[in-house]
Amino acid sequence: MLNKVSIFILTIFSFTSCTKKNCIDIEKSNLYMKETKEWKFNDSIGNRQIIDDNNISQTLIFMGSDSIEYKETVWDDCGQSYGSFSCSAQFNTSLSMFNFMINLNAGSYIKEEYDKWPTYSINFLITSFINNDQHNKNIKFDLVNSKIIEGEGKVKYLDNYKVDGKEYEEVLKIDYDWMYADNDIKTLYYAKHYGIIQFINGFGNKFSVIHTP
Amino acid sequence: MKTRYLVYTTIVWVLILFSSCCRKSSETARYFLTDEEKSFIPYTKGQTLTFMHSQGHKFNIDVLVSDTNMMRSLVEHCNEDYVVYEYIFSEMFSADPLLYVNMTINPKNISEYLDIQVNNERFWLSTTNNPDYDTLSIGNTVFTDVYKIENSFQDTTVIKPRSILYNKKYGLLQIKLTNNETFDYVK
Repeated sequence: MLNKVSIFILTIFSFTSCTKKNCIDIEKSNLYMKETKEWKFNDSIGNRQIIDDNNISQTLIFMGSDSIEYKETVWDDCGQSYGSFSCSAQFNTSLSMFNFMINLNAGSYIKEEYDKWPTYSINFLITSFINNDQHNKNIKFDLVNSKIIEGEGKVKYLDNYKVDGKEYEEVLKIDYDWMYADNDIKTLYYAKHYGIIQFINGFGNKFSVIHTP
Repeated sequence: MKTRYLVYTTIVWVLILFSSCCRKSSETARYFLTDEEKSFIPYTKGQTLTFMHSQGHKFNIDVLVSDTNMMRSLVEHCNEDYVVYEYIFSEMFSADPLLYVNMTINPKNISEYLDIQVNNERFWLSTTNNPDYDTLSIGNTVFTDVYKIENSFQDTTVIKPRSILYNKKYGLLQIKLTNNETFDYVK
């Protein structure tokens, strides 16, 4: 009887002692937050000229951006708190009628939630006017775990990529699986600080940002 | 008795009030395009036009739509009547470069302009004006009776359509961008 009670108590104790407190890894979170913010487009760059493979020019118009940052949005079981950051930037092409919205999201969730809902992410939403109708497609990419969490396609991290003679460091190459027509965007290149640097349509025509030194 | 009188009076007043509301709108006029006005849009559905960019790239613009229809004017207020009018709408498209060109012409009682839209830019060609050029060379071709329609922009650093050249015989002859690149019609 005593043995059974002892075994029961020991079993309960061992289960309760396995329960971990949900504690935010502040050091890691700060690192992820810093790295996510580096993907933000540098507003001071503004509009840029694009040229395609047929030497047709247009402007990649920077429409504006909004950022929101909170110091404390979640509290863990260890007496710690953490904040969040989100940013949205929009671009239009002056001739081709494409609209790009780039959203960054960082922070907020406790460590346990990372696996379920990664929150260090970047969204690439493209709105195109194809076949006389408006179409949207979106890819959301987890910057920490390097995987797509929304949308269909592939995202590849490049250490560097050259466009119009300029070598950009830390570039994401986004390939969309879905195209509404051949003149829709198939591939997008996005660089840290510089934003969109090139996109390619289904015809293989490359639209490249012109580098002005 | 008094109550019955009150009820009847109320009913009568309600009927008077409702009867003074909107009457059914009616057509007061019907306008048709003249042959002269129709001649401003020379396109037919299924036509393919060749254009060339100033850097040499040749591409096609397809005429997707070129129809004549009747339209009723908008009735916005009570007791307002409407007119019915004939119009021509033409729609053209190029996949790469991505260009949408729409044109609409109405009878002069409705509008004295040929409304031309190139992507997000609009141009209005006055159908009562004389052409700006008797003859004009575009590329290697000389065109006659050419109209020029220009938009003035505050910000010319953004590259977009700024002016067009047009004649009644061939339609759109040139789209010129703010950086002076052109898309020229190739006869």
